Amino acid sequence: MYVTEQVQKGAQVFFELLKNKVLAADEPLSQDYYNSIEIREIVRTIAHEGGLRVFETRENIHITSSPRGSHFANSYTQMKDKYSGLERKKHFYLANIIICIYLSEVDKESHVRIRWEEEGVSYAKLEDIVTKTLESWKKRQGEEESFSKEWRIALDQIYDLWINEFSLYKENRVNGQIDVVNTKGTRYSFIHEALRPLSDQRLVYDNTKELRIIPKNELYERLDNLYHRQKRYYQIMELINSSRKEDDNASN
Amino acid sequence: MDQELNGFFDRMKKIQAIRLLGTGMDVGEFQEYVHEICFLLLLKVFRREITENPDRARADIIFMTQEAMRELGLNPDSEVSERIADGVLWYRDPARQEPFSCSIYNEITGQHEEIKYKYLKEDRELSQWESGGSTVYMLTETAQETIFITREILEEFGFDIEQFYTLQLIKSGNFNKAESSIDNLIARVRTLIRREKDYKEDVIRNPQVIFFDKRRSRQKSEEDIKQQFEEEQKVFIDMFSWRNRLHTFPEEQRLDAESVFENLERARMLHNELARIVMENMALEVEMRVKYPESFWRTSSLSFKKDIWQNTIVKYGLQSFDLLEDIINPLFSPDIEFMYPLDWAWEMQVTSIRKTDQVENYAYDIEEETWEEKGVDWDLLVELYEEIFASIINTGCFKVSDLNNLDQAVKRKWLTQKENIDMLMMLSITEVVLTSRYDMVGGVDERLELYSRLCRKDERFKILEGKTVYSYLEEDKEGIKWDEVSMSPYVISIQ
Repeated sequence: MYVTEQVQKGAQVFFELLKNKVLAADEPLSQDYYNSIEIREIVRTIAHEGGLRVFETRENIHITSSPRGSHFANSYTQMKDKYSGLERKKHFYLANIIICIYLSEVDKESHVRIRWEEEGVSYAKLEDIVTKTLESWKKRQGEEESFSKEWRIALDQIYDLWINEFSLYKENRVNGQIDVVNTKGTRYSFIHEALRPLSDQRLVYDNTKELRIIPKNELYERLDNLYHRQKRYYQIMELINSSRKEDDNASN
Repeated sequence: MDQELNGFFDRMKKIQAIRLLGTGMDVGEFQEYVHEICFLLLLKVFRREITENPDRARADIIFMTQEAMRELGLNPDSEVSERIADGVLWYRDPARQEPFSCSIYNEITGQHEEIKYKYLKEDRELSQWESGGSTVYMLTETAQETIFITREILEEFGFDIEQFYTLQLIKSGNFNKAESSIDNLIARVRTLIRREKDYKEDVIRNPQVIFFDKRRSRQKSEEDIKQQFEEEQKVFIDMFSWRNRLHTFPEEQRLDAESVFENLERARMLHNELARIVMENMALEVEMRVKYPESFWRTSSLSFKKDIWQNTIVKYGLQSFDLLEDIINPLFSPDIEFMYPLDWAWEMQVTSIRKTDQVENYAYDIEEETWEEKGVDWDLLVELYEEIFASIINTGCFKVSDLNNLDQAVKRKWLTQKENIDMLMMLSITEVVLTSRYDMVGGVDERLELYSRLCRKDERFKILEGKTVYSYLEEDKEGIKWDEVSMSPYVISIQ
């Protein structure tokens, strides 16, 4: 059994985390967490009950939504809600693709990405990769039968949205600069929109003046914890593959 | 005169010195590399100079040229290396042994002027012409400048050599030159300090950089490095010992010397600072190895980019785009700031009391509501909490579980506005120091608003002024579970 003081401390850490999302390791409160197995267990248990995950790195303690889903809204689920209508689903899918492409661009072998300040990705580069990715999918879709039906239908819509509906960018009427914040219906403004869950949670700096999105250390810590571990990788693969099997079974 | 032209002539001299190095000769297939070879050659001569190696005759220079070519991955050809050595010694036809020359606009005279210079000149001290020795060459100031201009970037020489060079200048009473050499020394220490600081940051970010560290030779033990710093300290002491001999120099030199030693003192302080940081970093390396051994073995080569995105999703697609959500969502922390500050707790504790004010729209578009707008019935709050605070005064605490004993009428009162329960949660969740001198400017804290209202109503509550309210969970007790409200059995107490 835990003593009251531990429960209190644990709850305190948990609430601080809820409030701040990330706690620096050198904060006095964090020290309690790092130094006591019991407090760590308590914090993780509380988090687990709320569909959340708490993990620590050498520099920070993080709280995130659990892969199995969480009772809490976050800036990403809010984006999802915004695009929840059937008509707008393709926007949400596209935003997901943009997030994935951004993550994949900044994701580096850990020893070569120490100066994350230098790993920013420009809007132009991101736009180019998104376009190329969609075009390549679209092309392969025409040639091979490798994609699922659901994927193919969605892809057609996403492709149409990005390639045909969106213009590249719009300029600000006052100063003539490319404006991604106050414009809509452009690829650039949609990149800004899509990555907003990341910038709102201060995982990246979205520099809309220089049109470059710079990853932060906190993002890398989460990438490491979420995607670079074997166990989690197998979970993701399992997720991807099991849904394929279901589809195979259904069509058989 | 235009400001831009200020000092134009002198600056162009330096630029031309860099530009013309390695020109004026025909070396056939090596033409492309000749600039590199010549620069490396200058560095080699310079190193021999400051290490007091007298082997700097033309034959030696040809040998150094071949050495340089080999080091640059070129096949040294004796004829070519001779031509290059001569090409550094002399401009154009070596037989004529002429200095380099070019024409530069002089902003003062308003004319183009022919300037002449050399990279290598005769070392008068060491050239033993009388005894039939060959000429020993040394760098001219122009060539030294070429090296110094680029050195902060390339850092050809270690701190020790720069220091040694400064010492030589001080010894020879060449304070004018020593001055700029100390500047280099200081710049160099600063660079090293900056680099150590970066390194520290890097190690914290990723301990594996310890293995990729190119700043220090990995073979050097802590002892070696300590010793090196001690030796460098000794050279400083050596330099300062010349301060006592200042009176032997003529008056005008003494002024220069004073400023040299002042700057030297700065350099010494910076050097101490560097030594401290280097030692700290070595300790940090050890600490990392001991405390986080796992960060060194972690060799997982999995990445989102390669394994999840490129090789899986981009290649094969997904059953449905919906799956991306499961992959991305765990990146995000729960957001609670869009809701009313305590609503998360409310959400957990209370299930159905607030059906209507759920956040439905995209939260970015929602403007923060203020307490006042909600139209809180403060009189009711004060009425309900009078009991609670009275209990705190009388018994030192208030137990949430006691609310279970309330009669139905009072329970109904509690349930008439959600703020009644909210307040309880607020008091339970974080500590607060009670003060009736509550100031709205410091931010809205409804607990203090409540407390000051209580004090206004009844003087006896002032006894709690300055006390800290905190809470803990009561063991083995049920919380409240009313129809729509549930809450853990907190005990609210004071310190």
